[in-house]
Amino acid sequence: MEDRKVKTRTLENHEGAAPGSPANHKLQCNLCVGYELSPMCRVAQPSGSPKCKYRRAMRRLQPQKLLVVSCRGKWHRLLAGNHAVFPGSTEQEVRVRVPRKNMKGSHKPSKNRDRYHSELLLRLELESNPEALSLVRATLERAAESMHFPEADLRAIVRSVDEAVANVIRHAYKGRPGLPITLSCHKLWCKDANLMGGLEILLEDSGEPADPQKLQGRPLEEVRPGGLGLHFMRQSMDEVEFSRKNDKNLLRMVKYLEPARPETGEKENRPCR
Amino acid sequence: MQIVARPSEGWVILDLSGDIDLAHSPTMRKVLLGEIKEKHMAKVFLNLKNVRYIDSSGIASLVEGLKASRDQGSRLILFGLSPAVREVMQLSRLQKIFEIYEDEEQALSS
Repeated sequence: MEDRKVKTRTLENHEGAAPGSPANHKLQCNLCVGYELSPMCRVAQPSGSPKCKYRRAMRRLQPQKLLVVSCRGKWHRLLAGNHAVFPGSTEQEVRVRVPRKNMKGSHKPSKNRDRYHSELLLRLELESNPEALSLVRATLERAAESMHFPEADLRAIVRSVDEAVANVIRHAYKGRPGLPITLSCHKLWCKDANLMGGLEILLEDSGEPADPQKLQGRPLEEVRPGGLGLHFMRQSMDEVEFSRKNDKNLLRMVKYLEPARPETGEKENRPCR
Repeated sequence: MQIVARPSEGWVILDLSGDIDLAHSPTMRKVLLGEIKEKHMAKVFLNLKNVRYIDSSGIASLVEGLKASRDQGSRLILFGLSPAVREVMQLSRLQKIFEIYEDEEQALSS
């Protein structure tokens, strides 16, 4: 992506202390949702032009929040729950990097659900017992294997589902055993080409509603126990969506199949292009 | 998950096997903190060669162990990480926080 000059503004202090003051080393911006930035950080804002690449990047990455920040000479791309540092540029320019997985062009499956139809692969009705997690992992591993996901993606799927179910047990149900959790997996098929697109995982529970603040994750620079499950899920899956409907928590995660190499694959296993 | 302790003078090797998940991480945490805080071992080695899977609760227990060891002035050393465990450590950005070695021989000679 080309560099473009965009307007920058100094991060305003939302905490009340004057910027640059010695005590003002931790600012909490309502845009960065839980991340703490130094007074040196500058928030890049999109220009009004419809051609502004920062605006286009923002639209492409919706519904996740994108914040590009210059901090001590490095540009940080902050997404809700993610934090990536990439080589910076001067303060006069903004280098906007869209995540690589979002830049794969036409063969990247769209986030528009209307492009896919889904086929139920399996449904598990389980209870909120930690002992069930090993069974869930084994089942998901087999399900993902049947779709010919590469090894790394297979581990990512298993890890995400394990973390998601563990979160339901710990947080939604506060550790209480024997409460219902429904896990269903759907194969996604591209409508145009009838090729397999990916795996959609839906998790439903009747526990406490999730605290939106806690869904933002935490900075990984802090070395402390806890708060990593959500980060693992967001790093491992292509889509992670939380919602609530009819007093139930709903979690939707999607892992898309990468395009197969030309010399491999039977037709039915080739992902969407 | 199974834990087998091989104590020696002032240090102990804990051989872990199986999966360290929400069901089993409390046990690992208890044993680990026991070795560090109650038995005051100067070095605690965790053999993760036979650990197939670790989740965020397992990582949290390791971090607790690391903090406890630093408070006690002792060392917590990991070795034998499988690719799956190593991947999780990298996702957590903890691979440079912990002392990690390839095998028991390297760990013991550290």
